[in-house]
Amino acid sequence: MINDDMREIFNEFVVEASENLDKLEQDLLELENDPENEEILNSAFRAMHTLKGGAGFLGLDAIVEVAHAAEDILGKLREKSLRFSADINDAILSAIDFIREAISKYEEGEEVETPTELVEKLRSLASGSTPAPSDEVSSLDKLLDEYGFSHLKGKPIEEVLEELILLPPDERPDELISELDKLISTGEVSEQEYKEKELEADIKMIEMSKEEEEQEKRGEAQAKEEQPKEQKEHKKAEKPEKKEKQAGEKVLRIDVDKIEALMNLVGELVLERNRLVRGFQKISQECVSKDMDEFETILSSIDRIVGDLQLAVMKTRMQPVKRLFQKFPRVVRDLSKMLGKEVELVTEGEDVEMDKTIIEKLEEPMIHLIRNAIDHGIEPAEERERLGKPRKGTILLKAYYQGDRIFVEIVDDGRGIDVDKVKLKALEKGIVSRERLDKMSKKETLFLIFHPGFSTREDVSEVSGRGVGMDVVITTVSNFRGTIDIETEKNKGTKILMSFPLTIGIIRSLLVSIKDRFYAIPIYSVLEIIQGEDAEIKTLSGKEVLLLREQTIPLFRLGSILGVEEGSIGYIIVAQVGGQRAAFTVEELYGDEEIVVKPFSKIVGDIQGISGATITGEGKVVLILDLEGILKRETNSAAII
Amino acid sequence: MSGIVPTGDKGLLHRGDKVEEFLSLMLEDEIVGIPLKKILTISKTLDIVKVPFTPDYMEGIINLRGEIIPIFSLKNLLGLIETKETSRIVTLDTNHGKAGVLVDTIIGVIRLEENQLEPNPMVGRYSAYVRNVAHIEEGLISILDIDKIFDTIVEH
Repeated sequence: MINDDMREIFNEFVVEASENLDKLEQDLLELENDPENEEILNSAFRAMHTLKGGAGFLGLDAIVEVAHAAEDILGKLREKSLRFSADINDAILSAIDFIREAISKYEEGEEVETPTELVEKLRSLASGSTPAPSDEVSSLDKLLDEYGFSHLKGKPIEEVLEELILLPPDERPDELISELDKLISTGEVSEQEYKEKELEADIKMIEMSKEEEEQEKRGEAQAKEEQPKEQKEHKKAEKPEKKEKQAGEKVLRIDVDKIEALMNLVGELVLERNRLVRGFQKISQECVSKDMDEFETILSSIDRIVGDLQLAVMKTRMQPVKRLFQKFPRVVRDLSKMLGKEVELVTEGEDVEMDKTIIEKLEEPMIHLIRNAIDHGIEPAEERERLGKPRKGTILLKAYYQGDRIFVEIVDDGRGIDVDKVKLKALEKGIVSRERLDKMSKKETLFLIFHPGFSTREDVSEVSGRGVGMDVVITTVSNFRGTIDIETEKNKGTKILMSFPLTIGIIRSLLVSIKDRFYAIPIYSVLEIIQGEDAEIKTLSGKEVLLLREQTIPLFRLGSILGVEEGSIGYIIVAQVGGQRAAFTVEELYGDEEIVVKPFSKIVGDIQGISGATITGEGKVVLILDLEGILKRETNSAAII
Repeated sequence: MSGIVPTGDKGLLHRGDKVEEFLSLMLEDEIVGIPLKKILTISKTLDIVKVPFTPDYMEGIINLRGEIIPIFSLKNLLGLIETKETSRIVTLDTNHGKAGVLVDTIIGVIRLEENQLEPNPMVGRYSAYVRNVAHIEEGLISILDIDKIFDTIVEH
């Protein structure tokens, strides 16, 4: 149990541990391809060691036991007295899983029992080791024989060394010494020395953290990882670095609330600046003087600084997409293993930065999309061969900027989505009527997969259906004013394309009013605006629709939906909402404006249909409409009737 | 008016007295008190923007110095029937963030010594939200447990 005194330390530990676990997981996946890479082995060992230390300090015994057993294995791998195998990897990965779970249990104040089975397994893997590669030993033995040191065979290296040191320098056999040197540098050390090694690791870590601090002070953008690498360099110079250097992140942890407060203040500052500029423009028309010119210069630099400040504060919330993407190799590995498929995960644009909140909230939907791609998209290797495709399927995760939005793509080269199957399933599940379905475009039909409760396969199994449905994907995306699109081609694959605003704090919106109440409609979803008097409105099975270029688009009267009196239909806004188009009536239109989104306080919580509010230059409060939510409300209430 | 002193006048306090300050106000015919340390501002009821799709007890939102603050009907929350018009917004620092409540009229600030505060003898009605009661010149005052009220809203 964590008492209050330890809470703070525990919280630190949780943050650090989750970083270490992420790192470990990444390392292990890389080891699968490159089991000899010492750098990765060292990094994995250190990460596990740090974890064990932290858990030990806090008395989290279950974690200590598991971490200790896993560390033993990693230590032996590092010393080459154990060989990397799939079993070992699996065991350590399950150790990682266990530790993650244990941490969240400890967080909840629950007790965690030591998983004896897992610990046993780790221990047996550690001890049932394949002995040190025999060829190396024998080469040493051979040399010992050759130089007449046969009595030293099988003795610890240090004893051999001592014996050699006793010889006069010119009589020392160079070949034997270099062989010994090699053994020492590759970490061929006896069990007794293990503790020392461990100590050494500790010292290294202390040194590292010290140097990091210094680096930070000096403001050098040097990678965290580089320090141990350099220390190793002289020994392992012949081994080219396979692992890409991860961009060093110098991190300062700040409470999100503090940044939020900063964002709010800057938002306010921006609005006040706008007022100031507007006020100045008025005055400058009335009086012209030299002082006014100077005033204008000052004002324009304030204008620029405030803009820069806003950007800088926004940036504090931005994180590289790598943070998100790095969670998926494990998912792909586990899943493809479970389903017996061969899948390669390729990522692009990991340095693209996104708002932290989006990164966090996107993980689950993306896992779901990746699961779907592997489960439904990628064919089994044999089938792929028959189709003339490479045996290994590919899933590409890609992030890039375009205009003022960030795009994230999930592309697979699998069988594509069968639109006819989707239709069939949608009918079967009663999601749409046949006549509606017949009128739907291919894209609209495809978007049915995002409907809650839709699934194209009977055996949703443990793979694709873990509580999260495709509807969660679309909800998450629209919560962040994102868009989603599907492109699919039979036997070629499927592409899911999502886009998000650069910042979640500011959005370009259309200002509208109904009966003197003002609303903001985010402009990204608006397709076109039609004059009310030009619109052709019909009633179709009791519901109003807009006829637009021979297409029927469901029409919603915003006034009555929002509970204000219905005004005249001045304009109709046609928007892309989720997978479909919808039309909304408004009375007046006031053009578009950048607005600072002020979310509602926690007391109010999320309101479906209203994504927040903004304050205009005049201090007026304007609600920001979430058309997706409004549409959902309307369709849900229609379903009840 | 012995129990009532003007706001901000702290000079009358004697050192060592366990005294707590409250804002006393009228809700319909009842006097309620809110601990002064919970209160951020008091303002006229201007420009409350109604928010659709929210429960009845939520009146809307206001702009308080660049911040969006939700406003609630205290009468509705306490189950009082509204017959009189509210005239003031009292914004509070609750344990879930800033929020405002609508009240009829403000009486003033009162100071009560610890021994004047009695445990709540009532059951039913809004007694779950009453922390203490006390006798003042104007009658019986119910001291509200603001955090408890907002706990209920958030749980809702």
